[in-house]
Amino acid sequence: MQAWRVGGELGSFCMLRLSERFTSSCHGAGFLFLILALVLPAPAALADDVSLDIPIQYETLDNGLRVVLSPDDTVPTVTVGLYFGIGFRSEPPGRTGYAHLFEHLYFAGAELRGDIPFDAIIAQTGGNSSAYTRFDFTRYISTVPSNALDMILWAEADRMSAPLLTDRHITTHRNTVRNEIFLNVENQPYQGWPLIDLPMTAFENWHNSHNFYGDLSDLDAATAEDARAFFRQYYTPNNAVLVIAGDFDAETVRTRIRDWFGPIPSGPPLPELDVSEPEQTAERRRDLVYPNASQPGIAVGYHMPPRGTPEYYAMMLIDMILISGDDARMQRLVASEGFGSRVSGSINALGNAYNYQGPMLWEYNIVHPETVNSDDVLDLLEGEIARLREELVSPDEIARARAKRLVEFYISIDDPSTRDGIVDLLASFALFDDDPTRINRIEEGIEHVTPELIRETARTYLSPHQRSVVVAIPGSGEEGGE
Amino acid sequence: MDLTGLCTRFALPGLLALSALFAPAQAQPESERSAANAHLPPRIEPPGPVPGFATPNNWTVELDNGLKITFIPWGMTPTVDIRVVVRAGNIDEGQNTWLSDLTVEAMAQGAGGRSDDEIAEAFGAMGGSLSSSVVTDRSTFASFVLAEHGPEALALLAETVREPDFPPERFEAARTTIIQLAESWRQQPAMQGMAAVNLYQHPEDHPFYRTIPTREQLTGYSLRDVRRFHRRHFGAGRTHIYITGQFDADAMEAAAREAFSDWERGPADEGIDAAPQVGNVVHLIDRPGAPQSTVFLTYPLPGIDSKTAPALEVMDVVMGGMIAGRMLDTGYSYAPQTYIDWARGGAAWTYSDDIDTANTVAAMQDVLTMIDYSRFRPLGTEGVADWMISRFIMSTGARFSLVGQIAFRNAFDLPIDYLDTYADQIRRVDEHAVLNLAREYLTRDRLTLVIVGDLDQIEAGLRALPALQGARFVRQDADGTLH
Repeated sequence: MQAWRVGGELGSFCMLRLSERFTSSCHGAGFLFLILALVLPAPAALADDVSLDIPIQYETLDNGLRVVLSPDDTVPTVTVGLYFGIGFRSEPPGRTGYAHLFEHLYFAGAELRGDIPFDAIIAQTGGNSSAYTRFDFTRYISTVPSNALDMILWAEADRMSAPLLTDRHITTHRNTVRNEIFLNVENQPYQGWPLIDLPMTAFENWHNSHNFYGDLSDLDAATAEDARAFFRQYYTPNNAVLVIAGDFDAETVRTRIRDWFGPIPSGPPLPELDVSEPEQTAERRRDLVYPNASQPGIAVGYHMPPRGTPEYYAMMLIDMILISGDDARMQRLVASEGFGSRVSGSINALGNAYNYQGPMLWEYNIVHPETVNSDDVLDLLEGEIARLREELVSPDEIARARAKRLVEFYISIDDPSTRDGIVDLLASFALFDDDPTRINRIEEGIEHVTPELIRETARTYLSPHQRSVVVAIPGSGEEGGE
Repeated sequence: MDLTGLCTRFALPGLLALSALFAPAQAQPESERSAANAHLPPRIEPPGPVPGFATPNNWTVELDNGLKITFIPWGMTPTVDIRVVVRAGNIDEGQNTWLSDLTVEAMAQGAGGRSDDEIAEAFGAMGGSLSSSVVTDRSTFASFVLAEHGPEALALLAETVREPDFPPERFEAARTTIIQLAESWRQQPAMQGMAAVNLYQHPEDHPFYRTIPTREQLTGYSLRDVRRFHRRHFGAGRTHIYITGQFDADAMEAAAREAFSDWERGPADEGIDAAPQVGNVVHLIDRPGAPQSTVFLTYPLPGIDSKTAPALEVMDVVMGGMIAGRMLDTGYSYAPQTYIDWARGGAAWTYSDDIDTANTVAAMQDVLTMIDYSRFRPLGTEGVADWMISRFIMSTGARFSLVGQIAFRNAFDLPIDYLDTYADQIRRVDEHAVLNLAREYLTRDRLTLVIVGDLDQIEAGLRALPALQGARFVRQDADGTLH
């Protein structure tokens, strides 16, 4: 009854500039789409092949709504992703967990459909819908049979125009959110370790370091007027990206979007937001007790280089070299030590290496037998990082890292049915960069990583004084985890 | 902690049935519309039947030794996903809980004269890794690699499945891995609950009776036990390979023949059944201070090969929609779900959930009322078939679930056209068929209910629920003591 024993996160991507985040990029009147044939360059291993050719049509409406169309009729379904540039990083102080609470509220009702839940409307078509909140965005995604595209566009336009946000809706959804927190955190053996506890340790700026699930007292204090103000500020066309991927007629869809989303008025400018982190000069560490856990663990985070830089791509390969796959250094180390568990980790543990904007962690963690001291485990694994700072990786090792990163990318987008990965990438690039074609330059960045760059990146970003550590201590004690 | 499911929704067509029991949701009267959406039509007509979609092309080749290879050329990227599935799992362990897990873990420690490090590097160079897993009735060895490495990856997988070296110096590491896994299961309320369900679904001498092995069990297994398990339960006749993605079919078939043709057919499947049994029991596990109650409510059903299987699936969807809709309407829980576990010789329908402690009794009252209701009045099934067929198309159109669908068909020896005729089978189910099934199978005396939670808060209320008055109650203290 074993779970799959291989780790390695599924990648997708994004390279973003902070300055563009809140730009409402109106490209003049009309609805002229740029037709872009997006061709992913052949990786080195497939030198003679052009592997992918994803069609993209991109335009920005007069009200600032960015629209990405990606037709593909392989399967008779269509996926609609709506991303808003509001995540838990940007929620206002005193409103912890609010971005996430609002995500739930947004399903509750809208003027035309009334109290019938959004997902019930979608389900009646045979589709499904879901949503999640991350550091820098809240996303809503639905997949429906191709003949139901009108229904989903109408339902999205309905709630984007006039959602029902009453105290009654808040009460119900607050209860659901509380249960979500109980399920995912409070009633789990390791509670908020490491996904919540590590960022709270590693970051100093409140925007990055607060409990994004929210303090229950903040959630309890939420009112309908708060929700309406939040909606007016953040759920605006100029802070949103609409992606449609799958089996549809592009001309018809353009008309629908122009008619149904075009009239939604732009919102106010977005508030100034400083998410920058001070430079870390000393190790940060917390030892936290988790009463329901039975084994100790360590979680370690380092600050990522700015996105899009050569060092950022080097970190992608360092992630592969150290953690991803059985051949990764840390996996081999813990296997040879016989710990019986694997090292987990990734860039942006709550998303992927591409769908964030701002300070971010590369992290790793392991639950280990109680017969081994956590500090010894930390020293052992950090020894591999020290090696990266001192020695050049071999050509074979960097080739393996590139191949693994490439396969992870392919896995993440290889779904002609629901297209979750492709929609995520296109939306992220459009939202943060106003340029979904950035998808095309990721492999180039990875290809240019050299052993020297990896060593330099490790020396610059992976020194002991730059790390943050949260040690999970099992059993009862004074201090509980977050 | 899994945050990826944040806000996944469950509003299934069964919401229609829900409205018969609780206050129905209403659309806004047109006269109350604001100007904000004046540009939108007041409503959209239903889209009509789901567009058709043929199951993607796939074919199967059988070697002389009984090994089967299914080719599924479906995928958008130049990668190939190879899964070697062997009909060997927990059901073959007898009383030796998780001996199959330990065997598979030990198999991954070295094969064909290569060390685990060498195997890891070889797969890594192809962009992949060796994955292995064990479930109730099968073991899977798999890798996902760049397409051009398909034949090479297949050969490597063959070494692991056929010629594990079981290096003695790595055996303790494999054992520790399985001990760690068992420990992680023991900590989780969902796993504690599932383990309790199995106490009532299977007799004491069945391999599934014990879900999580004790540490003593795991430390007692020897390398000899592991070798014997491999010898007795692995062989070409019990193996099915699935190759999915973009690949050169001729080259892959040649590689498969080269790697597997001379493997012995091996022992036949012993054919042990695992049909869930009737419980008529409520098992409460104390987890003092727990903010939620983890619930498993389950009823035995006929198996996937029964004529009623399509109607059972419809029943699950309708019931699931109704229950999930109620939970989300009230905020009692975040991730309610229902599902059918198809097993060898039978099945079980299950509602599982995590309900906040304060509302546990009220929520269970509602759930049991809805189940009672389903036996007395037809639940609305309008739209259910289209919903199910749509979900089926999404599943068969997606690369990773397509192979799962095909493997499911094969695992239960279902007709070769099972996937092609699924939509028609579902469309033929009517609400009276569902009503009859609910009457036969969702009766109070057939349930097994397990709840892991803070019993000080919930036990008295649960014991007083009318629908549970005929059931035997078992209380399990936090230290494991049973009453």
